Amino acid sequence: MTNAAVANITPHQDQRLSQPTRPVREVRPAVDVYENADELLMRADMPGADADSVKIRIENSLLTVQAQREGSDATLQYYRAFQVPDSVDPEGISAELKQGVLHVQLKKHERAKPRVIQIRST
Amino acid sequence: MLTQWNNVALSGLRQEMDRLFQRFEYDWPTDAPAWNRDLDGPQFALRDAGESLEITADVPGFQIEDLHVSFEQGSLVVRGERSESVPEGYSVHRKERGTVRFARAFTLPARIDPDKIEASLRNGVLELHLPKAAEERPRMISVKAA
Repeated sequence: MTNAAVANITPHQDQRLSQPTRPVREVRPAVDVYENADELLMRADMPGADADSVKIRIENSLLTVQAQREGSDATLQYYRAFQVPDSVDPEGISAELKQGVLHVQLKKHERAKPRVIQIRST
Repeated sequence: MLTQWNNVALSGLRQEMDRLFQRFEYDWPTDAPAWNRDLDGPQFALRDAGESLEITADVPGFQIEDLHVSFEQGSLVVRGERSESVPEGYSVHRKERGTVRFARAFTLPARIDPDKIEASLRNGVLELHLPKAAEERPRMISVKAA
């Protein structure tokens, strides 16, 4: 083949070339979910996660939690999504990453908390 | 002359199918969902860094007192236990994180200096730094013109 012929070969349109060279691998962390009258608690195993990368979102009762971990040859993306009950107050969500475990607290609306109704005898 | 047929719509579909199969072709046990991986205990990684060996283990939720690292008869031994109990007064919706109890022994690919082993726990990852014994360190050999 002459040099001119080589220059005219159109490269195969490989979409992968436009993606970052560092692969991202998605990992589903193991999760515990507990509930009492006031709140829901979620604990997710995310060893090595970067605290700055933690993202928690709630939209239409769908809670998503994610965080990233930089490995030697790939970036790990921790990700889980959950339906949460309507009793959860979106303003009452807080989270903390401790020893590689993400602790999420989801407080319930005041009106959703159980109330004891007194029965009057007449 | 044959030219390769490049149909963009079909290659997009092929990539979607590749991604779908990737999710099923787990590299057991490292890519499997976390609750399957527990069968083998925490995930370990060993790396030869030239002057030292570096070992890491994923131990989320472990306290320092839950972990024991020792060098016994030429092997590195790592033991640990984490108990995950339900907090009092709460009901359980989902429980995927169980009690973990493990003991792993490693025959190392190089001789190390046991007095210089360093172990630290950071973000739920146990990091072990094992400097190699002096005679095992990589050495540059210069080539002389003869």
